Amino acid sequence: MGILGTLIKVFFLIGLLGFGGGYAIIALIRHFVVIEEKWLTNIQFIDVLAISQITPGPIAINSATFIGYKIGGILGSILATISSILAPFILVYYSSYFFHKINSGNFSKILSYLRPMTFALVISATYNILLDSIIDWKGVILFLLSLFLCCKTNWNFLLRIFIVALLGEIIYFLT
Amino acid sequence: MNCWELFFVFIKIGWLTLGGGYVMIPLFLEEIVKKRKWLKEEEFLEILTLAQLFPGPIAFNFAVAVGYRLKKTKGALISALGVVLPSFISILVIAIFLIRWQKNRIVQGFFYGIRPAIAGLMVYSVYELFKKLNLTLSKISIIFLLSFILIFFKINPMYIILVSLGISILWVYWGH
Repeated sequence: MGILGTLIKVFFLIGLLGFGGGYAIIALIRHFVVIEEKWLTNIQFIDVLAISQITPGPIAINSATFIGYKIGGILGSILATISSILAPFILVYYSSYFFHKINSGNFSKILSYLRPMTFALVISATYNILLDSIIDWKGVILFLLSLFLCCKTNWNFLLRIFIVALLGEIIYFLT
Repeated sequence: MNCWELFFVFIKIGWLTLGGGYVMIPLFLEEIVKKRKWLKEEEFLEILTLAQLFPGPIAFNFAVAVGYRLKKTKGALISALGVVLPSFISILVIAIFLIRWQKNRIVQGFFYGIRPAIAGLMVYSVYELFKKLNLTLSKISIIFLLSFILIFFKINPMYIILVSLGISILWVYWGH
């Protein structure tokens, strides 16, 4: 399979298996992209995650566009983005068609059983990102500041991220 | 309402889906139900439930389901395109810029600071999830076991997801 074929396959699977929403999908993307295909290093993956947080759109689609471009240029980014939404599109499309035959009670029950699993996915992604993102004591200070802002303020999360990033920038230039 | 209107509303929603997820639901309600009256509130909630049943980003699933309800296949395709376009364009521009400027000191300094910021957000999200889940002993054991397997055996999460999905389906249809 050529590299574009692999790109399509990987992001199709990520779209198909993206249960639980939000951060739950990070562990899956990271495994495919960093460990299996080695398209990004650990650090580059965190950078893509960071970009995804401060731009519109969900992580699965954002990472597909970014990695698609890095691996296969504009064509790669288009193919990867389409692959990442193909499975959700087909599923929602057909279920809209059959809407009244779907037993949504059973579906929600299945999803509620999946919740401990998605929680474990978030924990493992957080563990890996924590290990890779904090490389020195200055990183520890920035991390604690970020955590403090999350716990103690109601500010918009973009403002929190930018405060920590700006402080990081200053520290980076001073040391 | 015509297809252009549908397209532009979802472009607008796509631009505003910063941070994503459930924070965006009031925005959908405002745009689709209150301002434009394209759907009644019950229909809106029905579609929202549907959008959450399937894998994939909720904003995207919601766009496809609303598009289908209003304009059938054409509507589903147009809404999907509209909601994805803003994130596609912004990420593409950033990717082109970053791959050229990744050695720049200002760019490197920015990422140096933002990495620990993201780690902080994620640790906080674990805490938030932890608060929301009403923990029982069996749930804690599953969470602990799966986290352990994922972290130390580096097994592809795909298999964990598929096995958990299979077990949950069997549990719902044959167990209880």
